[in-house]
Parts: sequence; C-alpha cells; structure tokens
Amino acid sequence: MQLEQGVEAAEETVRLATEHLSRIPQPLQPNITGAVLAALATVQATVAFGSSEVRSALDQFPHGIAHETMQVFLSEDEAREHTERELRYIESHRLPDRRSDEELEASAANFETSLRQDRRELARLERMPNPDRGEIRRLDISIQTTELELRRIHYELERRSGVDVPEVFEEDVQAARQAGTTALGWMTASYLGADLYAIVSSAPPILTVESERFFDSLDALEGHYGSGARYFPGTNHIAVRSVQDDIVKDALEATVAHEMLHYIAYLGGGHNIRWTSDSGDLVEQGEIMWLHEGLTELHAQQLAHSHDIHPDSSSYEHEVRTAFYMQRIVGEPVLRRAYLTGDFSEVRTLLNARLGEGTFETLAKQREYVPDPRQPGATAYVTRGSEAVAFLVDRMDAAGVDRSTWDEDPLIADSVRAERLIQGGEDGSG
Amino acid sequence: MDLVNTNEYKGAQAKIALLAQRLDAAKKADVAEIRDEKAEFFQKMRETNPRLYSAFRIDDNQLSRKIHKKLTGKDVIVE
Repeated sequence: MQLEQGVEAAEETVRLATEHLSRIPQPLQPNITGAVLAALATVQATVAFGSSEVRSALDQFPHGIAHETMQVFLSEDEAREHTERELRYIESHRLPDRRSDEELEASAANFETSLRQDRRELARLERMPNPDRGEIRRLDISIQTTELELRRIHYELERRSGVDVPEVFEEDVQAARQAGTTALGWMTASYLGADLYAIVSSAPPILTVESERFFDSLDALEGHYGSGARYFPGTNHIAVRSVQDDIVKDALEATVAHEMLHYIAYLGGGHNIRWTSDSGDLVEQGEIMWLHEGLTELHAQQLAHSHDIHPDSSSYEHEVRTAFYMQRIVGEPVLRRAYLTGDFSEVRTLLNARLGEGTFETLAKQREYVPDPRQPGATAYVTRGSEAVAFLVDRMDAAGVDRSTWDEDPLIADSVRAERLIQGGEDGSG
Repeated sequence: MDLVNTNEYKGAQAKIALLAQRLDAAKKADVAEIRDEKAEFFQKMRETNPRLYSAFRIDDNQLSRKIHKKLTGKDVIVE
C-alpha cells in the first residue's frame, strides 16, 4: 500500500516538477534526470513520512523540488515526531539481545570493573611529567567505548522493564537553540545567493536535540561509534546529541553550521556534482561524499572563525585540506557557489588551468569502491580526502605552486604538521 | 603524502573496498555480520592508529550510511 502511495506521489512529483520548472530560479532548475530522481526520492519519502505529508509539502512549497532533491519541510513538532518514529523504527529493526537479565547485569559489572581500571590508569598517566600521549588516547577511546557498552546494557534493561524515557538535557536544548540561531544568522543572502537564501528563509533548517539513546541506537544499527550530529536528507531536520560533555560541545555553532550547510547544499543541488566538458557536454557525476564533507566542514569552520568562534578541532582533516587548497586556487566565491549549487564548471576550468588538464576530472570522476574496467585497480581515481591531498600536492609541486603560507593556516596546519612527522619517521600519533 | 603509500594504508584500503563490495551485494539478513566486522575494524583502527583512522573516517561514515540505508531503506548523513 505504501509503495502504491509512493508511486502515486512520484507521478505527482513529476507532474509538479514539470509544472514548476519555469518558476524555479534558474540556478535551481531541475533537468529531466532531476525530475526522475525527484520521483524516486518521493517514493522513499512517502515510505518514510506518509503520502499525505509529502503531498502537503509539495502543495505548499513547490520550490521544494530543488534540482533532484525532494524535500519534506518539517516544523519543530514534526521534526520531534520524526525522531520518535526513527527511534521506534530503528529499535524495532535491530537484532534482539538474547542475553538474560542476569547475563546483562554480569556483563555490566565486568564493564564497570574495566572502566574503573582504565580511569585509574588514565589518572596515573596524566600525573606523569611526560606521559605517553598515544596511550592516553587509547585509554580515552577505551573508556568511551566501555561507557557506550554500559549505556547499551542500561537501555536494554530499561526497555525490558517498560521504562522508556530517552533523556535530553534542558541545558543542551538551550545551547543548541542558541547555536542554531547564531549559525542560521551566518547564512545570509550574500553568502548563499539570493535564490537559495529565499528558499532557506521559507523553509529554515529545524534543529532538535536528541538523547544519547537515540544516537547510540543509530550508531548500533550502523556499527558506528559516537556520532554527534546527523542530517536527514530529504528533510530540513538536523539532530544533535544531548551530552553533558564540554569537549563535544566545543563550538557547537560550527557543528550546527556544518549540518545546516548539508541541508542548504542539498537544497541547492550541491550534492549532484556536475560540470560542462570542453566539448560542451554536461557531465553529471552525482554525489562525491568525501568532497562534499570536506567542503561542508571547510565552509562551516570558516564561517565560525569569521564570526569570532574558534573551534579547538575540525572534522575530516584530509577532506578539508583538499577543499582548502582548491579554494585557494579557484577563489572562495567560485568554490562556494559550486559547493552550494553542484555546478563545478568554473572550478574545473580554473583548477585545470593552474594545475594541468585532467586535474579536476581525476579528483571528481571517482568510482566509489568499484574498479573501473578501463582502469584496472581503479588507481587512477581518488576515493577519499587523503588520496586527494596526495594528488593535489603532487600537482601543485609540479606546477610550481608555492603553498608555504597556505600550510600555515590554522585550518590545515595540524594536518600538515602530522604529515611532516610521518615523513620524519615518527608515527604522528603522539 | 606518505601516509597513502604505507602498507597499513593499502591494507586498510583493500579491506574497506571489500567490506563495501560485500555490503553492496549483501541481502538484508547478512548485513549485520558485515556491520559488526566493520565496527570492529574501525574501532581497532581508532584505538591503535588514530592517524590512519583520520584518513579513513570518511569511509567509516560512508559505510555506516550504506548500512543504515540497507537496513532501513532511509538515508542519513552521519556527521
């Protein structure tokens, strides 16, 4: 039944996409592929949200069909319901824990013993004048992992006893709300461009703060660990983890800005990377996740720094470094426009002119994990930021690009230093 | 960048490619096994070689996204 509704809604999407094509601002105009992809996205969205919500979103906000993305714009209450549905759905899909209550409690006792030992050892190391930093990091991760295992046991026992109260700290809600207001204030018309700004103003991102249990459940489902924020494509919903940890909460504005930029770039078509070739053909590469993440974090960090917020660390150091070098070569406005719209034609032209023909294509025409039969071993393509950095550095050196001052920028300086440590024969983990 | 030329890097690269290929081909019932293997692989890497993990963190997130989609049919961007 849901599938039928999805197909019905998909047909409606194609009709609406066609009808509204001329009304959508030029940079966001979907092409035929976009309309088909929008239809597919609608099937998925319908299964996730129900056809009435999809229809309602389409009716109320035709610009929601931005490029190939069908967006369902949620209010704060709807975003909250979305989270609750997600949690129920995820927990109903996870594999049952077959251990008895007694076994779970015994396991928890073991974890608690191990946790005490690790914490004692960590405290001892931290009192030393020259502690082994690598060992401290290992213990930190071990402690975090054990705490997670304990929380999971705790959730399972709670679930069995009928207690079901995911905890969200009010202080975190207030902090996130403040960070959300601040970060949204950075997304100005001059930064996003008038068309995209108008859409974002009509359908701003919705930020919710979710319990550790919610995030732990998502992580457990995926075999992941400790994710702190999520964006749900196809919606304007962003979720951040409620956690009483000052390290995680460092410069929350930058984290929130990062997730907001995911949403805004998706809205603008930024994840459908495409360009015009020398022969004038449109090349549609689609999503390149490492590049998208690098650009997202680069822009989030730069926005934060430009508003006098200086995060202690950033994510995706290699991907950010690649994006940073690209930005220095093609110019900030050009790269930002490409990031937000997905049209990398100008980036390609400028990058290839400076670093040699084929530079951009090698970076962008990746084949994710799938070997290209024409390129045995798929070594001709870049599949992640670390390889992109290596490739770009080689090209820059060959082209005689002086990057000495770029490498001192705080955004990439740590990455450059760590690389030098490896080159100097150290492991860089200390 | 020397990191990408190390044996550790190449070993991890091959393992990740294999995990991704297995995941693409897996039926829903088989995803849990691959997920657990992936979780153990990356967790060990985080603990023992954080520098190497920094290069493959994007893959950890991307594989998580694939697993999520495979198990629930829904899309989510992990951080």
